[in-house]
Amino acid sequence: MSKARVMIVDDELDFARTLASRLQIRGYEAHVVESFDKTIEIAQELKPEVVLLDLRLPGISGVEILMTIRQFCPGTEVILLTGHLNLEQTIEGVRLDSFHFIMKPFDIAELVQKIDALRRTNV
Amino acid sequence: MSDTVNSQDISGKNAGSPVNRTVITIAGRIISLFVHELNNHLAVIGEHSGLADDLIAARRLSDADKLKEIGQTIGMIERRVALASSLLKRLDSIAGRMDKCTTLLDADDAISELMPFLEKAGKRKNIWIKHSAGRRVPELSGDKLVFQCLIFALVEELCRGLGPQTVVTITCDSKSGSVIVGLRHDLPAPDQDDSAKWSEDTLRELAQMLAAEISKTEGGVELKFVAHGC
Repeated sequence: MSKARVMIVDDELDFARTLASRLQIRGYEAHVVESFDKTIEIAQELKPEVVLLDLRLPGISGVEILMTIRQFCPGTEVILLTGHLNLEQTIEGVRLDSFHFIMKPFDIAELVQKIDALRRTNV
Repeated sequence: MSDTVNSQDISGKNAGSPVNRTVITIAGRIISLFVHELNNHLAVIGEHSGLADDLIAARRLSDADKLKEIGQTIGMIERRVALASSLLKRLDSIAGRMDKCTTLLDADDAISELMPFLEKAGKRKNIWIKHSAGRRVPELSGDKLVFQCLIFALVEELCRGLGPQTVVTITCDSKSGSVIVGLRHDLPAPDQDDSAKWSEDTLRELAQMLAAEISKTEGGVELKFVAHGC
Protein backbone atom coordinates (compact mmCIF):
# COMPACT_ATOMS: atom_id res chain seq x y z
CA MET A 1 0.00 0.00 0.00
CA SER A 2 1.37 3.43 -0.91
CA LYS A 3 1.88 6.03 1.82
CA ALA A 4 -0.99 8.35 2.73
CA ARG A 5 -1.64 11.86 1.47
CA VAL A 6 -1.70 14.06 4.54
CA MET A 7 -2.72 17.69 4.96
CA ILE A 8 -1.54 19.62 8.03
CA VAL A 9 -3.73 22.57 9.03
CA ASP A 10 -1.90 24.66 11.63
CA ASP A 11 -1.11 28.36 11.93
CA GLU A 12 2.16 27.56 13.75
CA LEU A 13 4.14 27.29 10.53
CA ASP A 14 7.48 26.36 12.11
CA PHE A 15 5.76 23.35 13.62
CA ALA A 16 3.67 22.41 10.58
CA ARG A 17 6.48 22.65 8.02
CA THR A 18 8.85 20.62 10.17
CA LEU A 19 6.22 17.97 10.75
CA ALA A 20 5.58 17.88 6.99
CA SER A 21 9.32 17.38 6.34
CA ARG A 22 9.43 14.52 8.83
CA LEU A 23 6.41 12.84 7.25
CA GLN A 24 7.92 13.32 3.78
CA ILE A 25 11.15 11.68 4.97
CA ARG A 26 8.94 8.71 5.94
CA GLY A 27 7.43 8.58 2.47
CA TYR A 28 4.14 10.42 3.06
CA GLU A 29 2.84 13.14 0.79
CA ALA A 30 2.44 16.02 3.24
CA HIS A 31 1.05 19.51 2.60
CA VAL A 32 0.74 22.48 4.94
CA VAL A 33 -2.19 24.89 5.12
CA GLU A 34 -1.90 27.73 7.61
CA SER A 35 -5.43 29.08 7.77
CA PHE A 36 -8.89 27.68 7.66
CA ASP A 37 -9.92 30.00 4.80
CA LYS A 38 -7.91 27.91 2.36
CA THR A 39 -8.47 24.51 3.94
CA ILE A 40 -11.58 23.34 2.09
CA GLU A 41 -10.47 24.64 -1.31
CA ILE A 42 -7.06 22.96 -1.00
CA ALA A 43 -8.54 19.80 0.54
CA GLN A 44 -10.93 19.42 -2.39
CA GLU A 45 -8.02 19.79 -4.78
CA LEU A 46 -5.51 17.53 -2.97
CA LYS A 47 -8.05 15.02 -1.65
CA PRO A 48 -5.99 14.12 1.43
CA GLU A 49 -6.79 10.84 3.13
CA VAL A 50 -5.92 12.30 6.50
CA VAL A 51 -6.08 15.88 7.81
CA LEU A 52 -3.99 16.79 10.85
CA LEU A 53 -5.91 19.68 12.33
CA ASP A 54 -4.87 22.20 14.97
CA LEU A 55 -7.93 22.66 17.11
CA ARG A 56 -7.16 26.29 17.89
CA LEU A 57 -6.95 28.25 14.68
CA PRO A 58 -7.47 32.02 14.96
CA GLY A 59 -10.97 33.29 14.33
CA ILE A 60 -12.80 29.96 14.24
CA SER A 61 -13.64 27.24 16.73
CA GLY A 62 -12.30 23.73 16.32
CA VAL A 63 -15.83 22.37 16.21
CA GLU A 64 -16.78 24.64 13.29
CA ILE A 65 -13.71 23.45 11.40
CA LEU A 66 -14.53 19.81 12.02
CA MET A 67 -18.13 20.23 10.88
CA THR A 68 -17.05 21.98 7.68
CA ILE A 69 -14.49 19.29 6.85
CA ARG A 70 -17.10 16.62 7.51
CA GLN A 71 -19.50 18.42 5.17
CA PHE A 72 -17.16 19.11 2.25
CA CYS A 73 -14.69 16.20 2.52
CA PRO A 74 -16.77 13.32 3.89
CA GLY A 75 -14.20 10.59 3.15
CA THR A 76 -11.34 12.37 4.88
CA GLU A 77 -10.17 11.22 8.29
CA VAL A 78 -9.29 13.96 10.78
CA ILE A 79 -6.74 13.77 13.57
CA LEU A 80 -6.90 16.69 15.99
CA LEU A 81 -3.57 18.13 17.07
CA THR A 82 -3.96 19.95 20.32
CA GLY A 83 -2.07 21.28 23.31
CA HIS A 84 -4.99 20.66 25.61
CA LEU A 85 -8.62 19.70 25.27
CA ASN A 86 -11.37 21.23 27.29
CA LEU A 87 -14.48 19.34 28.16
CA GLU A 88 -16.71 21.21 25.72
CA GLN A 89 -14.46 20.42 22.79
CA THR A 90 -14.20 16.80 23.90
CA ILE A 91 -17.95 16.37 24.03
CA GLU A 92 -18.46 18.11 20.68
CA GLY A 93 -15.68 16.05 19.09
CA VAL A 94 -17.28 12.81 20.22
CA ARG A 95 -20.66 14.01 19.02
CA LEU A 96 -19.22 14.68 15.58
CA ASP A 97 -17.73 11.19 15.49
CA SER A 98 -14.41 12.73 14.52
CA PHE A 99 -12.49 12.14 17.59
CA HIS A 100 -9.04 10.95 16.81
CA PHE A 101 -6.59 13.18 18.54
CA ILE A 102 -2.97 13.47 19.54
CA MET A 103 -1.57 15.82 22.14
CA LYS A 104 1.29 18.15 21.25
CA PRO A 105 4.19 17.62 21.66
CA PHE A 106 3.99 14.02 20.41
CA ASP A 107 6.17 11.21 19.23
CA ILE A 108 6.27 10.94 15.42
CA ALA A 109 6.02 7.13 15.64
CA GLU A 110 2.73 7.49 17.51
CA LEU A 111 1.37 9.86 14.87
CA VAL A 112 2.47 7.64 11.97
CA GLN A 113 0.80 4.68 13.67
CA LYS A 114 -2.48 6.62 13.94
CA ILE A 115 -2.35 7.78 10.32
CA ASP A 116 -1.70 4.24 9.06
CA ALA A 117 -4.39 2.74 11.30
CA LEU A 118 -7.01 5.23 10.07
CA ARG A 119 -6.04 4.58 6.51
CA ARG A 120 -6.31 0.81 6.93
CA THR A 121 -9.79 1.29 8.38
CA ASN A 122 -10.83 3.22 5.30
CA VAL A 123 -9.44 0.82 2.69
CA MET B 1 -17.23 45.44 49.62
CA SER B 2 -14.60 46.51 47.15
CA ASP B 3 -13.29 49.21 49.48
CA THR B 4 -12.15 46.63 51.98
CA VAL B 5 -10.70 44.04 49.65
CA ASN B 6 -7.15 43.98 48.40
CA SER B 7 -5.04 41.29 46.79
CA GLN B 8 -3.54 40.31 50.13
CA ASP B 9 -6.91 38.73 50.79
CA ILE B 10 -6.53 36.33 47.88
CA SER B 11 -4.47 33.97 50.00
CA GLY B 12 -6.15 34.93 53.25
CA LYS B 13 -9.50 34.88 54.98
CA ASN B 14 -11.38 36.60 52.14
CA ALA B 15 -10.14 34.28 49.42
CA GLY B 16 -13.68 33.17 48.67
CA SER B 17 -15.13 36.65 48.12
CA PRO B 18 -16.65 37.22 44.65
CA VAL B 19 -14.09 39.84 43.65
CA ASN B 20 -11.16 37.68 44.67
CA ARG B 21 -12.62 34.71 42.86
CA THR B 22 -12.77 36.93 39.76
CA VAL B 23 -9.11 37.89 40.15
CA ILE B 24 -8.18 34.22 40.56
CA THR B 25 -10.30 33.29 37.51
CA ILE B 26 -8.64 35.92 35.34
CA ALA B 27 -5.17 34.94 36.59
CA GLY B 28 -6.12 31.36 35.70
CA ARG B 29 -6.99 32.40 32.16
CA ILE B 30 -3.67 34.20 31.81
CA ILE B 31 -1.88 31.05 33.02
CA SER B 32 -3.89 28.94 30.56
CA LEU B 33 -2.77 31.16 27.66
CA PHE B 34 0.79 30.92 28.95
CA VAL B 35 0.62 27.10 29.07
CA HIS B 36 -0.76 26.97 25.54
CA GLU B 37 1.98 29.25 24.22
CA LEU B 38 4.73 27.38 26.06
CA ASN B 39 3.35 24.11 24.74
CA ASN B 40 3.55 25.48 21.19
CA HIS B 41 7.22 26.32 21.70
CA LEU B 42 7.85 22.83 23.12
CA ALA B 43 6.07 21.23 20.15
CA VAL B 44 8.24 23.22 17.70
CA ILE B 45 11.39 22.32 19.67
CA GLY B 46 10.32 18.67 19.74
CA GLU B 47 9.70 18.55 15.97
CA HIS B 48 13.00 20.27 15.14
CA SER B 49 14.92 17.99 17.45
CA GLY B 50 13.19 15.02 15.77
CA LEU B 51 14.04 16.44 12.35
CA ALA B 52 17.71 16.69 13.35
CA ASP B 53 17.60 12.98 14.26
CA ASP B 54 15.92 12.17 10.96
CA LEU B 55 18.56 14.12 9.05
CA ILE B 56 21.40 12.35 10.82
CA ALA B 57 19.84 9.01 9.88
CA ALA B 58 19.04 10.03 6.29
CA ARG B 59 21.16 8.32 3.67
CA ARG B 60 20.13 10.46 0.74
CA LEU B 61 21.96 13.58 1.99
CA SER B 62 25.67 14.38 1.83
CA ASP B 63 27.43 15.27 5.07
CA ALA B 64 27.65 18.92 3.97
CA ASP B 65 23.90 19.09 3.29
CA LYS B 66 23.15 17.38 6.60
CA LEU B 67 25.33 19.85 8.50
CA LYS B 68 23.64 22.82 6.84
CA GLU B 69 20.13 21.58 7.58
CA ILE B 70 20.99 20.49 11.11
CA GLY B 71 22.54 23.92 11.73
CA GLN B 72 19.26 25.59 10.68
CA THR B 73 17.32 23.21 12.89
CA ILE B 74 19.49 23.98 15.92
CA GLY B 75 19.06 27.71 15.20
CA MET B 76 15.27 27.29 15.35
CA ILE B 77 15.52 25.34 18.60
CA GLU B 78 17.65 28.12 20.12
CA ARG B 79 15.15 30.79 19.03
CA ARG B 80 12.23 28.90 20.52
CA VAL B 81 14.07 28.28 23.79
CA ALA B 82 14.74 32.05 24.00
CA LEU B 83 11.06 32.86 23.35
CA ALA B 84 9.88 30.31 25.93
CA SER B 85 12.37 31.65 28.44
CA SER B 86 11.19 35.24 27.90
CA LEU B 87 7.60 34.13 28.40
CA LEU B 88 8.53 32.33 31.61
CA LYS B 89 10.17 35.47 32.96
CA ARG B 90 7.01 37.50 32.29
CA LEU B 91 4.80 34.98 34.04
CA ASP B 92 7.26 34.72 36.91
CA SER B 93 7.14 38.48 37.25
CA ILE B 94 3.33 38.43 37.46
CA ALA B 95 3.12 35.37 39.71
CA GLY B 96 5.93 36.54 42.01
CA ARG B 97 3.80 39.23 43.56
CA MET B 98 0.34 37.67 43.66
CA ASP B 99 0.42 37.90 47.44
CA LYS B 100 1.69 41.51 47.62
CA CYS B 101 -0.63 44.31 48.64
CA THR B 102 -0.93 47.83 47.32
CA THR B 103 2.16 49.31 45.68
CA LEU B 104 3.05 52.14 43.33
CA LEU B 105 2.75 50.98 39.77
CA ASP B 106 3.64 52.27 36.34
CA ALA B 107 0.67 51.60 34.06
CA ASP B 108 2.78 51.30 30.91
CA ASP B 109 5.18 48.84 32.58
CA ALA B 110 2.30 46.72 33.90
CA ILE B 111 0.68 46.62 30.45
CA SER B 112 3.99 45.80 28.72
CA GLU B 113 4.43 42.84 31.06
CA LEU B 114 0.97 41.60 30.11
CA MET B 115 1.29 42.11 26.35
CA PRO B 116 2.25 38.57 25.26
CA PHE B 117 -0.90 37.28 26.96
CA LEU B 118 -3.11 40.05 25.55
CA GLU B 119 -1.73 39.40 22.06
CA LYS B 120 -2.47 35.71 22.43
CA ALA B 121 -6.02 36.40 23.66
CA GLY B 122 -6.62 38.71 20.66
CA LYS B 123 -5.09 36.32 18.15
CA ARG B 124 -7.75 33.73 18.90
CA LYS B 125 -10.22 36.08 17.22
CA ASN B 126 -7.76 37.35 14.61
CA ILE B 127 -7.59 40.67 16.44
CA TRP B 128 -4.30 42.50 16.88
CA ILE B 129 -3.54 44.05 20.27
CA LYS B 130 -0.98 46.84 20.37
CA HIS B 131 0.45 48.87 23.20
CA SER B 132 1.51 52.38 22.36
CA ALA B 133 3.67 53.67 25.22
CA GLY B 134 4.06 57.41 24.85
CA ARG B 135 5.39 59.96 27.32
CA ARG B 136 5.88 58.81 30.87
CA VAL B 137 2.72 59.02 32.98
CA PRO B 138 2.55 59.44 36.79
CA GLU B 139 2.48 56.30 38.93
CA LEU B 140 -0.70 54.85 40.40
CA SER B 141 -1.25 53.57 43.86
CA GLY B 142 -2.86 50.14 43.66
CA ASP B 143 -2.48 46.45 43.27
CA LYS B 144 -0.56 45.61 40.10
CA LEU B 145 -2.13 42.14 39.77
CA VAL B 146 -5.65 43.56 40.02
CA PHE B 147 -4.68 46.26 37.50
CA GLN B 148 -3.42 43.62 35.08
CA CYS B 149 -6.48 41.42 35.61
CA LEU B 150 -8.72 44.41 34.89
CA ILE B 151 -6.85 45.25 31.66
CA PHE B 152 -6.93 41.59 30.59
CA ALA B 153 -10.67 41.25 31.26
CA LEU B 154 -11.42 44.54 29.48
CA VAL B 155 -9.43 43.47 26.41
CA GLU B 156 -11.16 40.08 26.32
CA GLU B 157 -14.56 41.72 26.70
CA LEU B 158 -13.78 44.31 24.00
CA CYS B 159 -12.50 41.65 21.58
CA ARG B 160 -15.68 39.62 22.04
CA GLY B 161 -17.66 42.23 20.13
CA LEU B 162 -15.06 42.96 17.42
CA GLY B 163 -14.50 41.42 14.01
CA PRO B 164 -11.34 39.84 12.54
CA GLN B 165 -8.41 42.07 11.56
CA THR B 166 -9.40 44.78 14.03
CA VAL B 167 -6.50 46.50 15.78
CA VAL B 168 -6.99 47.38 19.46
CA THR B 169 -4.50 49.97 20.73
CA ILE B 170 -3.84 50.47 24.43
CA THR B 171 -2.51 53.86 25.49
CA CYS B 172 -1.72 55.59 28.77
CA ASP B 173 -1.96 59.33 29.22
CA SER B 174 -2.18 61.80 32.09
CA LYS B 175 -4.65 64.63 32.49
CA SER B 176 -5.43 66.88 35.47
CA GLY B 177 -4.10 64.56 38.17
CA SER B 178 -5.49 61.45 36.50
CA VAL B 179 -3.97 58.62 34.52
CA ILE B 180 -6.14 57.59 31.60
CA VAL B 181 -5.77 54.11 30.09
CA GLY B 182 -7.53 53.95 26.74
CA LEU B 183 -8.46 50.88 24.69
CA ARG B 184 -9.43 51.88 21.19
CA HIS B 185 -10.36 49.77 18.17
CA ASP B 186 -9.83 50.89 14.58
CA LEU B 187 -12.80 49.09 13.00
CA PRO B 188 -16.42 49.46 14.04
CA ALA B 189 -17.84 46.66 16.18
CA PRO B 190 -20.24 44.36 14.33
CA ASP B 191 -23.40 43.14 16.04
CA GLN B 192 -22.58 42.10 19.58
CA ASP B 193 -23.41 38.63 20.80
CA ASP B 194 -25.05 38.48 24.20
CA SER B 195 -22.68 36.11 25.93
CA ALA B 196 -20.54 38.49 27.97
CA LYS B 197 -17.37 36.85 29.25
CA TRP B 198 -17.00 39.38 32.05
CA SER B 199 -20.08 41.20 33.28
CA GLU B 200 -20.10 44.98 33.63
CA ASP B 201 -20.54 44.55 37.39
CA THR B 202 -17.42 42.40 37.59
CA LEU B 203 -15.37 44.92 35.65
CA ARG B 204 -16.65 47.79 37.77
CA GLU B 205 -15.87 45.93 40.99
CA LEU B 206 -12.31 45.34 39.81
CA ALA B 207 -12.04 49.01 38.85
CA GLN B 208 -13.33 50.03 42.28
CA MET B 209 -10.53 48.05 43.91
CA LEU B 210 -8.19 50.46 42.13
CA ALA B 211 -10.40 53.51 42.74
CA ALA B 212 -10.81 53.76 38.97
CA GLU B 213 -13.76 54.67 36.77
CA ILE B 214 -14.66 52.84 33.57
CA SER B 215 -16.43 54.62 30.75
CA LYS B 216 -17.31 53.61 27.22
CA THR B 217 -16.01 55.94 24.53
CA GLU B 218 -16.61 56.14 20.82
CA GLY B 219 -14.45 53.32 19.54
CA GLY B 220 -13.40 51.85 22.84
CA VAL B 221 -13.20 51.98 26.59
CA GLU B 222 -11.42 54.33 28.96
CA LEU B 223 -10.18 53.80 32.51
CA LYS B 224 -9.54 56.82 34.72
CA PHE B 225 -7.22 56.42 37.74
CA VAL B 226 -6.16 58.95 40.34
CA ALA B 227 -2.44 59.58 39.90
CA HIS B 228 -0.34 58.95 43.01
CA GLY B 229 0.09 62.09 45.12
CA CYS B 230 -2.86 63.92 43.52
